This record gives sequence, structure tokens and C-alpha cells, in this order.
Amino acid sequence: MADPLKQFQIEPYVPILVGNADLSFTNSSLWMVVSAGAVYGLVMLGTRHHAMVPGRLQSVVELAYEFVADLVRENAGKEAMRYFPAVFTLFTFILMGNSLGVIPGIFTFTSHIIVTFTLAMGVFLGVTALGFWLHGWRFLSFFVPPGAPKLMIPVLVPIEILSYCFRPISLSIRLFVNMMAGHTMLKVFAGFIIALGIFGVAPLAVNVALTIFEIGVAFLQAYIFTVLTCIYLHDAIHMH
Amino acid sequence: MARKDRSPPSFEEFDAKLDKLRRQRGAPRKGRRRRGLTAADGMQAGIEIVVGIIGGGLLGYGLDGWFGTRPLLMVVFFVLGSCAGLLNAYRHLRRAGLLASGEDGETNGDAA
Repeated sequence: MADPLKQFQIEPYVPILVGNADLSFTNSSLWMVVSAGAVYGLVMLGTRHHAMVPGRLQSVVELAYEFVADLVRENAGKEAMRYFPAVFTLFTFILMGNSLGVIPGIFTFTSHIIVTFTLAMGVFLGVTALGFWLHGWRFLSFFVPPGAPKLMIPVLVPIEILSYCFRPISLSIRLFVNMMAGHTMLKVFAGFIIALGIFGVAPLAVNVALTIFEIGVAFLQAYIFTVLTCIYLHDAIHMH
Repeated sequence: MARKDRSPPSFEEFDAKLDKLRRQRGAPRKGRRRRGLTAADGMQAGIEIVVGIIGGGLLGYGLDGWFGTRPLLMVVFFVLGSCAGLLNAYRHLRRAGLLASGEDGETNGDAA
């Protein structure tokens, strides 16, 4: 019976040791490179002809562009379109990583908490730095909710700061949990198929349904990650 | 009778007209808010609460180890962390349109 957690194991393909740090090129790194390359290739190939009436591939790229642009404009405001390239990169990277992972045999790099946590911390630190850069020390007034009675402020401010600092944790955990749970379930049901013999059609049907569900989850989780990034961006730019 | 040749409106004129009409009609808000609450919203709120509670406790525990004030800081941060988690969950749900805030969820800051 297959071990459902073995699929998450990290295999170093090219061991690289810098002092004490293990910077090996692993299966996770490989699929990150493949994801980024696939997105890059898709966008580059799609926009190769600059056609006014887009062909199929260009339509796909334009659809992705419009989708993320609408997201940014609606959730972060028109001024936030300056940060659109970063948000688009984030969205397509996560989407491609999640989607590639649905294909059997391909490693899902977003199913590791350290990967999703790094992405979330990147967003968190970037948005916080942006807030300080745009507003200076006045950005700290973001933690004093408007209309709060003066006496409550010493209690409210630590709560606000904590709630701000918990954002990257919840952001990363959601993506990680969805990906890991989905793939674990796929593996568990797949293990039942051969073991049940003729009745293995039942877990097979479940797996078919689960795979379709996982494709939806891949898109939905990338979408939610990006929406929340836009909302945090809005908070940093507009401070309310 | 020769028709007057009207050049097509410039982009600025068109945008201005569109904005005016939008404001008059009350532009329908796009996005998932129209579809109501999804399972993802529920999961998001749940995760925020749990992260708040556990994160607050762990943070307090760690700070206690640093300052040696066991168990005071752990209790304080547990409480603060749970409040922070609940606050996050409340804000997400309000943004998703569940809890009334006078208008259709929180304003999203779009300039249009």
C-alpha cells in the first residue's frame, strides 16, 4: 500500500553545500524552475505576434492579464497598478505550480509550508516596506483604528499589530493545507484502487472527481492568495 | 445633404462619459462578492481564528522563555492573539459581505 506522505519528500538532485547551508537543487527547485519557465514561455509565445485580433494563445495571455488587472484595480485601487507585475508574477507562479502538481508524478512545490511561507513573507515584508516608504513613520498610525476611545488604545494597538503579523502565517497555511491535503487524499484513494480488486472502481471514481476538484482548488487557492495580497497592498497604500 | 463628419471621441472623453453614466446607474460590483459566501471564505475565517489562538500562545511561550516570566506573558499573548485572530476573521467576513457594515461590504478603494 502506497505511503501517502512519501510524495512530499524532497530529493536533492544536485547537492550544493555553501558552508553549513544546504542549497541543493532539489525536485522542488526543479518544478519551480519549470513553473516559472512555463509561465514565461506562455506569455512570450502568446504575445509574439502583437495581433490586434488575438489568436488562441494570445487570448489566453490577455485573459490572464485582464483577470489579474481587474483583481488589482478592484481590491487595491487604481494607484496599485504600479505593482501589477509583481502581483501577476505571484498569481501565475502559484497557479502554474498548483496546476502542474495535479498531473500525476509531478511534484507540487506549493505543498511545502516553507515554500508558501516564503511567498507569504515576501508579500508581507514587501507590503510593509511599501507602507513605510509611502507614508514614513505615519504608517504606524495604521495600527490605531479610527474612532477608538483613547483609553482603549494601549489594548487595541498590540492586538492590531498582532493581527497584522498573523497575516503571512494564515496566508501561507491556507495554500499549504489545501495542496497537501488534496494530494494526500488523492494518494490514499489511489492506494485503495488496486487493493480492492474489482470494487476498485469506487475509489477510482472518487479519484476522478477529486482530480477535477483539485484543478478547481489549484485555481481558487492561487486566486485567494492574490486577492489577499491585493487587499494588503490596499491597506499599505491607503492605510484603512 | 452632406452628413457632418464626426471624429470618434477621444479616450478621455469616452472615459469621462462612461464614468458619469456609471455613477448615475450605480455600477454593479464585479467579483466574487456577488456570489455570496463560499467555502473558501469559511475556511479563511477558520484558519485566521486558529492561527490567532495558536500563534498567540506560541509567541507568548517563546517570549516567556526569553524574559523568564512564565506563565504571565503566555496568558497575555494567548488572549491578545485570540483577539487578533478573531479580528482578522471578522474583517475577512465583513469584506466578503456576510456582516452588514452599512454598505455592500467594505469599500475597496477603487477610484472610479
